[in-house]
Amino acid sequence: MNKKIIPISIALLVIASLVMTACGSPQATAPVAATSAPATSAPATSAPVATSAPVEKVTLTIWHNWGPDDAKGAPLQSIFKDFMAANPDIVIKDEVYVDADIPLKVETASAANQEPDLVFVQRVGSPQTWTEAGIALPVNDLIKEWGLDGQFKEAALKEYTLADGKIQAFPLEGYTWPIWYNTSVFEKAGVPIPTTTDELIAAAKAIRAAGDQPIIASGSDGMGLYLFTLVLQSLLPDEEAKKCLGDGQWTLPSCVSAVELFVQLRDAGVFADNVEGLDFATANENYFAGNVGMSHFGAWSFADPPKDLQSKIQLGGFPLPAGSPHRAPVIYSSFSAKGVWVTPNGGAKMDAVKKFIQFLYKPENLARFVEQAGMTPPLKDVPIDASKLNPLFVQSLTMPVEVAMTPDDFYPPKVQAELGTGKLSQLAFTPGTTAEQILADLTALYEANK
Amino acid sequence: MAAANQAIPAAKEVNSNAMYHRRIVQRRQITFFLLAFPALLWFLAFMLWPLLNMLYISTTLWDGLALPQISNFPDNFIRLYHDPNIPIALRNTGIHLLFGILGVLPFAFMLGFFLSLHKPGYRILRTIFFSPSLISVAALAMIFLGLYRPAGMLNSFLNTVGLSSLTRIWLGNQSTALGALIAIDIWSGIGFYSVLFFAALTNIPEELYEAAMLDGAGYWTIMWKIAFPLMLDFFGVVVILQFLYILSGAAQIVILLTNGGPGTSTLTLGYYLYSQAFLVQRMGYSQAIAVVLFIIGILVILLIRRISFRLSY
Repeated sequence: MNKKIIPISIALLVIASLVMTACGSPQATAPVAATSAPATSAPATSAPVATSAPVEKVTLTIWHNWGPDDAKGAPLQSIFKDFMAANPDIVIKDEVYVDADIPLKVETASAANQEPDLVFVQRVGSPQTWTEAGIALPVNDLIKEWGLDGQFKEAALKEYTLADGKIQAFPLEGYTWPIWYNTSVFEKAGVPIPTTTDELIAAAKAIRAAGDQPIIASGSDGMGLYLFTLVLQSLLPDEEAKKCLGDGQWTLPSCVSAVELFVQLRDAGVFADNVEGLDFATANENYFAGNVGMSHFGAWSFADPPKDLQSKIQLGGFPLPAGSPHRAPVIYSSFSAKGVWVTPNGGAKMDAVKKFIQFLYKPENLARFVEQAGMTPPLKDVPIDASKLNPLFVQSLTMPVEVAMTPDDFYPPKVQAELGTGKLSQLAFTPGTTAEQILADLTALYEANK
Repeated sequence: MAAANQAIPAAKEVNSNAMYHRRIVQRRQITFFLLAFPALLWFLAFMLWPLLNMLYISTTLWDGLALPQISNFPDNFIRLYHDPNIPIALRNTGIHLLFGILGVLPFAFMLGFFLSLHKPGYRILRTIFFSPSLISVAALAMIFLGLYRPAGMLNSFLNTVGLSSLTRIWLGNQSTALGALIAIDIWSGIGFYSVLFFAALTNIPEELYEAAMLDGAGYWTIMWKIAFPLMLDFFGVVVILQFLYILSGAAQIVILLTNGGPGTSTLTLGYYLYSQAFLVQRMGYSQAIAVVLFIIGILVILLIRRISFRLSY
């Protein structure tokens, strides 16, 4: 019996020591010496020199969608790298997800208090409820205390400010969303870049006659919806557009006329064949092949076209119909593409979050996104080396256009979520669908989501 | 008296036997309960509790995981009654069920019967038939996306054989989208169920077939007049399986390929439940739809069981 006690005791000791070791090494933090003494500074047998206390490494977890395939991925990684070099006590752990998947992932993680510390996500859909729901912290005080007050563009901050005055997140990515005209296709067809819808119809006919296709769009997903609404808004002032797209008053004559305009243009053949079955990637692929006259891509695609095509692209707005309240072709422009949201978990590491946000929003760091990816910066003054700028981004700064209010600003959130699936735009782009059918579907959609 | 005295020990014996028998029965019941208890606990925790939770959530206003649940009974069910999408979803689900069951099971049964005859090469055919079941839903969606896209295989084939007028945007056209999705379920379902039928048909004694052949019956007659009646009970089970898959599981392919569109042409109850829960974040309402699905499921299963039982016996 005694013989057994010794090995059992040893085994228990080993297990206990293993358990204690495991408990004593948390995953998120690792003690490291802030400075390491030279090997020769103390004899090997002497006790450790208490010149500096071990510093807890703080891990900042960030979820975003700027992976290696995104033009903003490289500048973001360079910022992470430089930040960690400047702050050795902070480790950035970034995880890349599909943009549309991030909100639900954050919400489920938040329910278990496992959300990341910072989230880079678009201010569209459910993130707009995060401040109210306690998933994100308002950043009003942080902007003031961290020296960012007065640096943000007013339009950017306004978009992120709720009705009660709370600022939901730090605005990060702005964009313009113009119409891309391939000048070589227009030259081949012998028509000018259109500024009115009559000219657009004539141009579409000429382009088709020359063997090319007019406007490509992703009719089967949520991106095509923005072209549908842009066409509507070419005929509507912002306040009227709000009544249709925001309040769902689709029986108003102005809303009916706008949908009828879309149907008239579609039936006149201004959209490419089979556009109702295309997704965004396929639409991109088709446009970049070079035999399509027009497309509706945002600033996030400025770095994507092949070089030989890039010089042929002229950016502009959507042509105006007769009776339009706008003075120039319309585009969308917004800062909703990306905000930086601070979560309660981030709030528990506020010192590290403060350092990171201050580093990210240094004008010279934001300039990396502008120069490498053509991103519209949210700050007023960003020093940019003009020679490094994307030519399409430069063009976008001087486009003769008028900005229509992005419908994201007035969609009811639940309507926006359903529209985002693309099923309405797909219906609208399908030849043969009448204005009455589209209006009925829109009415039903808004009714169901009151 | 003497007889009575003799009866007392006999009665005592009977009583002790009865008590002994009762004790045995009680012990067996306790053993049975102890052995069944873990499974019962599992059922209560992971089956019954979520079911009750579904019923509870259906009576609440819950517009996001992070937001509180507020009791609003019977608002979700009133909304359900007035929701214009519900009749559309019911109609589409009905069409899907009709073609998804009639288009799969008779053909699967025929293939299963053919396999059960053990003709040369049946092993290879069995593997080929079953292979669509090994493809994940996402991969299946990619295969059919390639088939149905504007410049996909189907349109290219139609163009090649001179039937350009028949080309469509199969998933983008309101009149073809639902049919295109049902075709995927038919393609992937026939092989799977044929292997199930094959396994069940192998239990039928070959002597029955041989006797029928001696009487001059052909394979078609044997299949439908002998094998099918003997398989009716199993057929009922398979109908239930396919019914349950289409009712809720088939929403996966809708999510991956059409999101219920274009318009509402592929809006099914299963997809509507998903979209209300995860896209629109109307959790309480989505569970009210789930309750409707659950009730439909129970009623139709009872109906199928009743029909197959009556036909079998």
